[in-house]
Amino acid sequence: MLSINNLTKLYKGSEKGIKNLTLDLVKGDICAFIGMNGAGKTTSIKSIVGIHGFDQGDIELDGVSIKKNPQEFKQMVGYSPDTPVLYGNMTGYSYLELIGSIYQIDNATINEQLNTLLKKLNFGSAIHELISTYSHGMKQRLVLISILMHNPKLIILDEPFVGLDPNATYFLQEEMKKRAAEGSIVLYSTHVLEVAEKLCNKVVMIHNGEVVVNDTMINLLSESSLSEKFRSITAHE
Amino acid sequence: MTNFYTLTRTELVEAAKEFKFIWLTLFFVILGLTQPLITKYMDVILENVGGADGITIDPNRPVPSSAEVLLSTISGQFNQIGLIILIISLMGLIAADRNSGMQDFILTRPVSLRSYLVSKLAGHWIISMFSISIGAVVSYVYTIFLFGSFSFSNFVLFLLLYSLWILFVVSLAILISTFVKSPILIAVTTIAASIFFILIKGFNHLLFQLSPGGILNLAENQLLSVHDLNYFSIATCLAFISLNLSWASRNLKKA
Repeated sequence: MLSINNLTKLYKGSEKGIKNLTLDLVKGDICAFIGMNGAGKTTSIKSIVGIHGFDQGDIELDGVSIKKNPQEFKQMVGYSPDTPVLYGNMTGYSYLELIGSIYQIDNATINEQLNTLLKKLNFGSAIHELISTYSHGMKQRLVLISILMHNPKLIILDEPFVGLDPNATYFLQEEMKKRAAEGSIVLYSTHVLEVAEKLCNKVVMIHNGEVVVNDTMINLLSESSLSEKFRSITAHE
Repeated sequence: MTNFYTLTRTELVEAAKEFKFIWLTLFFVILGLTQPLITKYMDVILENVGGADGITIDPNRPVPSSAEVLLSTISGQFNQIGLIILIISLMGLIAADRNSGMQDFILTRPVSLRSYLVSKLAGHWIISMFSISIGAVVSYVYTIFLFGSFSFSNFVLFLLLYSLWILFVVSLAILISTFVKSPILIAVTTIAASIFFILIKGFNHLLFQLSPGGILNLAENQLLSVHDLNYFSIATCLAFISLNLSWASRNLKKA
């Protein structure tokens, strides 16, 4: 279970950030994290994955606090940023070996995982080429493989569909469903509301750093579409 | 510990792919080579470049000892021009990670801040000492060839103690990188702080004992065959390195 309690992170000299975010997600949840640009989505995500410290509150995953035990917490998380950051001088395979080594995954498991994931993402022999030669979409796919290798309990994706081709997009959606069915929690930020409606069972909308919607998708859709709800909240902007 | 090895290895592999081992080593080899050659052949050089008008070189000037030549190579060349270039090569060690997002990549993995910082320290210390050691050995060979023998064990002891000073300089660059974002400003501040620590050790005995620069005197004493292993200087230097890393870790945690 992911439990976020009163998470507050404000930037120095600014009111921007996130205020009192409280959110509980259980195994099997796929939650869309929605908001306008600058609403606080990335700040929240960066706090949850341990990039930012935060001013107040705590985040726990299966009872492990990121404040008290950050390494154990991060061992259970797979995070894909909005822009893939990779070592350009490495081959894709060396990069995945590096990630495997950081998560202390043995070589047999790495190879087993790679066989499956590389096939699904049509990587082919490109995995042995330098990352600097990859397109944006290939880099994005490499990051996806790297965050799934250690079977994380919490998968966090920041704008994951940007730059992916239709096949990779399909793979990612199916993989999110599969991982959730196997007991992982998936939290992702997106502006593609139609996909979120079909994919997610929970939705959180954030506006000016505050949570304005935290509900199940079924409840929300019984009142209006996600798009209508979003427009009504942000109408005065 | 595994993550420390993994990250250090990554630093070394990345440095190798960027040819840092090669250009930094070439630089220190040239530095190490020039001082003994210039000292020995100054009159010949001046004659041949035609710039000797009005300059008289005393033909009876004393020939410097090999220890003096080695000392002027290290204090004069390595610890001035060499130090500046070395620090410039270190200015991106945290800043580049931060600007490229690589720091975020590492901090979202189960890697402690300490492992991250210590791997940076170890990786860049190994690269620096690899280059400096080769440059120093070249200088040593030329010096004993041109000016007579010098104890190799003293030379090795010098290098070991000098490597502690380099470890301190790398840790200082890491600390300053957590305060300042601009790589140029990081380099300038680190150079200024290093010079400060070198200068204050000469003010009085207390400052000498309390400055990490005191380790330089200890190292140079090995070249002068003064066998004074002042453990307090070693302890001071190690304490400063530890302090720099702890402070840097605290800064990154707050960021």
